[in-house]
Amino acid sequence: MSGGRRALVALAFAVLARTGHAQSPQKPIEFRSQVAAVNVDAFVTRGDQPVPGLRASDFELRDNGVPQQLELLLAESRSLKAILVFDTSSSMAGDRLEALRVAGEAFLDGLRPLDQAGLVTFSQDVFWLADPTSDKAVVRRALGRLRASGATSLYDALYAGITLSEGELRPLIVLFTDGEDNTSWLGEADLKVVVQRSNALVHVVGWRPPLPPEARRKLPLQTETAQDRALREIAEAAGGRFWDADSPGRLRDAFRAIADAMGHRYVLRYEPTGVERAGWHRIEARLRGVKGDVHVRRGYWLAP
Amino acid sequence: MLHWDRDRAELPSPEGVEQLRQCPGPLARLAGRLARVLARRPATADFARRFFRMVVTSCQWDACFDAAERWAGEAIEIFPRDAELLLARGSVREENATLGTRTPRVTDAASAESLAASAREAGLQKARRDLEDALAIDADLGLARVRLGRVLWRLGEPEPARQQLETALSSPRDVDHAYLARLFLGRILQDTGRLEEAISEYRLAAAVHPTALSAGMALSNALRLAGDPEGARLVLRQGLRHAGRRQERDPYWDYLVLNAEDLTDLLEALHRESLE
Repeated sequence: MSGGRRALVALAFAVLARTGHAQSPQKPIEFRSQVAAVNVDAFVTRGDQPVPGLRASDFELRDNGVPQQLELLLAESRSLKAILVFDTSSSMAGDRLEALRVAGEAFLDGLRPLDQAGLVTFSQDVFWLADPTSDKAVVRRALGRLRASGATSLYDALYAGITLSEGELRPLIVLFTDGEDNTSWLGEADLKVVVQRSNALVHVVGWRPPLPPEARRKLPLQTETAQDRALREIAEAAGGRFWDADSPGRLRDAFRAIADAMGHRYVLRYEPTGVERAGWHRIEARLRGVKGDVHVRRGYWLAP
Repeated sequence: MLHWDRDRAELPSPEGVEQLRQCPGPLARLAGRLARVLARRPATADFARRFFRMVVTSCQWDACFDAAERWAGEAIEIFPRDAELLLARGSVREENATLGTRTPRVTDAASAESLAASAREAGLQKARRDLEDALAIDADLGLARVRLGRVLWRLGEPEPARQQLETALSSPRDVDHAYLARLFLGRILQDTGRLEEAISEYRLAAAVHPTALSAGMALSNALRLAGDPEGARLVLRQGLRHAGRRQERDPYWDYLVLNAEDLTDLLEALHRESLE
């Protein structure tokens, strides 16, 4: 009898391959005499290139469909509070983590002296590794301490990054992930609401290794996963975008491009007129008489 | 041989190597045959029953949902009145309907999402039946009631879900189950617009596990929605302060991927008994 049990358990150990156990102040909305002044971070491109030298009169912005009188603030004169939110779950171990560290360094190289940077990492837990500081060496040291292990609480970490970035400076979140969320309390729907009610600019960089040519041929045209689509929508709603990276070089380039673009952005300021104060404000922006595309957050939300 | 396998399993992943979880292969069929033989003998039936439960849970941990369901189905055929096995299968089906039914990569995103939603609902309905059957056999199976509450919420039935969770909280036997029930109840209240009550539940969850991240996230987000961003930041900062040195693992982290927190104990017990 004991022999039968022993054989059974031995088989169990043999066949169940255990791997994880048996173990300058700028606020998004300022209130002056009961009237909210809104700052909208805008990025203008022609092709893939940023368009410099624009004036307030070159922009047309509508708040809930109503054209607004704009003032242009110099983005270059506004310091950033940039929070890097990095996936350090177990799938990041090895070369991928090193590539991410290098990309993080490239991002820091692209910031200006007064810009602040901070670092949040996540597995199933969320780690606040470096408070925002203009002393980039602090963040570089934190990047040097990255270790990969555990599951993926992506949405919880993104929430932490956004919530902790808010304040007087221009908030920027750069989220990196190589996987799918499986342990967050918060979900896609929660984050969409958070983004609506925050003025943080959010960029998402997804690591998607290249598929072999044979596999690529078999795939349909659209190969975006549900999570990638959700992250892209979150980023675009917050004025940023989703970046694909399939190699260390492209990862570094994406981070560098995000940092560089911040120096080419415009801050459009206006006091909303002709619209209800409370509720969701849809923002639409375009250029007048100048060629180019204007990228801004989809809107903002004011509590009743 | 046994110890070699265990040592290997308990070693941390080598740096730079992403370990893929493996589902049971052909040898597992032999183990299954042996287990069925042992299940027929009164002296070894309970051993076989626990073995099946361990295998189901283990397959779930390794995200081998088909294998987990197959093993659970075989075991439930042999032990149809076993509430723990029904709970184990219900948990597998709940997870599969949450993490296993990702939107497929197809050209038409809308129909892909529709297909995934149908698969999710079908999986959750099966999970619901297992959990209801488990509770019909053993009404005191606390985790089954917590899971049933969560599944009903996901099926869009907040009121029956709330009742199950409140019943689970009326006589909690396990602190982790109470924590999960508070969190899930808070989410139902939040979704039905009762934000202040949700905040109270989240505070109670945080009181059960003061260093757990999920309760902190839930509370912080609810405070933010309630128009208290300072409170939200404070709670979040407190939650992050414990990162990496939490006194206890957040039970929510394992809720979906592991039905039995005692899997390791289960394995150890089987191992010990096999040597007797």
